[in-house]
Amino acid sequence: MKRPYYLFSSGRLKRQHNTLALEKTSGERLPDDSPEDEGVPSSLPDGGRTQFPIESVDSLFLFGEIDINSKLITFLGQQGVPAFFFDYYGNYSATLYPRENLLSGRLRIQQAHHYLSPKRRLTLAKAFVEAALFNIERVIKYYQPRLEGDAQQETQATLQALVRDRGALPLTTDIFTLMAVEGRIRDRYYKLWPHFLGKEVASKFPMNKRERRPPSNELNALISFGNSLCYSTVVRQIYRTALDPTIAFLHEPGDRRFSLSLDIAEIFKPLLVDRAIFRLLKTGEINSKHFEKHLGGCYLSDAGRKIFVQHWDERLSKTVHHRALDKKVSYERLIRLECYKLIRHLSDPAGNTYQGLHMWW
Amino acid sequence: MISKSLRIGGMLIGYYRLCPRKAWWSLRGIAMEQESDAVALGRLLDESSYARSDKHLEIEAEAPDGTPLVGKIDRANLKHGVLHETKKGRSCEDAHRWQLRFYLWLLYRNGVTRADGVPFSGQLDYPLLRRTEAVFLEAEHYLELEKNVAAISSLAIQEIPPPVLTQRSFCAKCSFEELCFG
Ligand code: SF4
Repeated sequence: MKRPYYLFSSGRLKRQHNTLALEKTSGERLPDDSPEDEGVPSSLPDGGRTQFPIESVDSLFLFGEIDINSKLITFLGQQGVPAFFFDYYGNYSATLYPRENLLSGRLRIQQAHHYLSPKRRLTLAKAFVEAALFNIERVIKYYQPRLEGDAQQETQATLQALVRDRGALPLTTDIFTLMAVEGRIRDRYYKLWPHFLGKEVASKFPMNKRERRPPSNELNALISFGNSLCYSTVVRQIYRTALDPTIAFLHEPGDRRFSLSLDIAEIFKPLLVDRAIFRLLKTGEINSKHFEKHLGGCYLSDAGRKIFVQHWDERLSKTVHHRALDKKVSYERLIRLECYKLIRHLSDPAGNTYQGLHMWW
Repeated sequence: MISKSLRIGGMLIGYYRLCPRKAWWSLRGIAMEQESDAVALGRLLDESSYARSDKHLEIEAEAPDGTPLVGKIDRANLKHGVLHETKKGRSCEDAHRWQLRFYLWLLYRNGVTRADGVPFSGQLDYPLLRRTEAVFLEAEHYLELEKNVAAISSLAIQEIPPPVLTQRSFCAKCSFEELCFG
């Protein structure tokens, strides 16, 4: 079985016959962007080495400072292994996306057509927001019964607003408004997080509002890191299908990003990212010592990232029973199925109208 | 428009006979990612099972309505006039038979026979099961193949996919199952 590899060490990643080898370096990784940087590795090889067969690699997540050469790039391309790079702060920085082998010209035309036609685009964009709100609602409803007093009331009010906004989505006439609705609900949802986390955890990790660049506190750091993982996980699923990752519907197709991944990730963030954060903080697996401050921002430390990633990987392999397929599917596979649903919609919008995943369990 | 460049092959005939929707996906260039070891196994069978023979012959022909046809034949024994097709298992054997009949039809339409004038026959090989099955092209098959080719040509210009099969049990062994029902 192929699986993603998450590499935290720094060093040189190279092809060695039919395996990948990481020749490790020791010492601190330095920030990637210091002005006096010469572009050479921050530290020297220490003789450490890990090697793994290419057949076992689905994708690579590179959190360390990694040196690569074009032989490796060619090799990964031939093997269809995408690689995701993260910068010093744990932010997603780039993808090495191998040449597509599953692309279908006709489907791509359909995808562009659905983007260019305002009506068709809006239909899909609404479906993404609708499912994202639905899944946020599921998360809120999961915690609501345990709350009391003001917390209960505030949660109830947010739920009502959410249900109202979700119900009004069919009336929305433009993407901008859709984005605004989603942003508004998310802000209110984040305000509930201290209640979900409980007094003790919430006192250590306050949540005022979502601030990304840079993340202003621990919770923002966790959300940013989780969203990066979610984005790259979705990219790697899209890569396994005939979809073109650059043509999106809710998000504007961008030049340097795979916007379709942003669309699909909206649906999965409540399930994958938000719940991972609650779990890691409530159990204390991640605590104050796992954060670092740099240049006015707050980031997960190396140790914190490892804990997050390990939990992330376990979470992706959790399964639920899928009625129509009558089998268990992993959370990660649900992302793939989402891609397939989109392909069905693009092929037959009237007969197979897309509805985003509604968590049914 | 697309039908201009359409060339119908044996695999597509097999797909069509199993499920028109499957053929439609395939006509759209939509393939499922091959994740299982089954594909590697298929390749291995292909390379190792039968070392000596004429392998991978390509034949072209035209259907009576002018549609270009193409066959990529696994292996042929020209002396005995037998086309071979190697398969892993017998789960879609009817599709396999039709694929082979289609190749025989291509030979027929090219006027190719054995040296003594006897038409070619076919043989399905299942090395893993240690079984073979003889396949012949009968008169009633010509018309059937002609109809299938015409149906596939119109499928190729059909905007939306045909419906899913009503017999859901069939889909359980189809590689497109998650695409149709996921
Ligand atoms: S899953 Fe069923 S309906 Fe879909 S292509 Fe396969 S056989 Fe046809």
